Amino acid sequence: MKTAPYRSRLPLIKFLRLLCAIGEVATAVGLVFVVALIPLSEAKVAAGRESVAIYVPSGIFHLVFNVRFGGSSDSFQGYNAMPAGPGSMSFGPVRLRAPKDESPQDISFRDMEGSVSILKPDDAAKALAFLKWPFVSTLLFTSAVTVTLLELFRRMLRSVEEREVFTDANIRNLYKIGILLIFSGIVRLLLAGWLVSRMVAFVTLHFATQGMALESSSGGNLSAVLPGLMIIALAEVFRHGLALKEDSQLTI
Amino acid sequence: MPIQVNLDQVMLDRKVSLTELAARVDLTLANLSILKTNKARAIRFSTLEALCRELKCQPGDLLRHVSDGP
Repeated sequence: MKTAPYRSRLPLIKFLRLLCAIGEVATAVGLVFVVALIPLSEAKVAAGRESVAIYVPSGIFHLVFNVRFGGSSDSFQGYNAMPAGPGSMSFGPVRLRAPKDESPQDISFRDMEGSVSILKPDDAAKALAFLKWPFVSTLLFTSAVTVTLLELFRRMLRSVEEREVFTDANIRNLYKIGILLIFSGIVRLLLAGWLVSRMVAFVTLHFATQGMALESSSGGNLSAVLPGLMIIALAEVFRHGLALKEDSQLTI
Repeated sequence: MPIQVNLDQVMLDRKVSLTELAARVDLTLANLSILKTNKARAIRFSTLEALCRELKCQPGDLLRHVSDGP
């Protein structure tokens, strides 16, 4: 039995569902794109014809990595612009600790967050090969999480369209979304940290870093956990709503 | 359910069918059936009033309290 008709914003709901579907497809396509291109890029980077930049995101909803493939005439505009010519590999974020300056200054540059570029094609290709599989597996994980979240949300939107919101399925969906947010927030934090520290280890092992100390960016945040908890609370609200609905339906 | 609905008996006495009664009290057949088979959780006063009006009886004729257990 359906709840009484109300003026819901049906076109908006339909539009949101479409956006979710598009997002799912875009994530999947992006994943396939990157996974296919990285092995190809290895050869091109070694040949000095292409550059690759990998940027590991932080924050709640940065679910997708930033991977840029540059052509021959190159500089990456935009966030953390990592200008590096072809045949190079860049990654970030890393924390750069400037060497201690003995002379008295008015200001000093201490911890800065930036990126590292490996400039010679051979080294860059080696770095890419070193980082390739951990990166791809992390990307697979975040893409799977993104697609799952979008799909669950899309199903909930359909139930709104059909005017049957307080259902067992929706309660379960909300629980899944909340737990997924919490779990993926923690795992992503760990994976990003692992990825960056792996890279930092590689670089400090193989290159002289000109007195700069490289560290993993310590700015991981667990802020994805809070929305997860809120959504789980919402699931309990829906459970109460279900009880109210059943009571109301069986009130003759 | 400790409150039993005694519609069957009263409908038989007044010789009224389920469909006809549903139309007269403005309930769906499904809802009236839920009421008759003791599956309802609550009844509105407006519904009770309509039933008493159409069946010309008192609420006590329709509802009976049966205690659970000792």
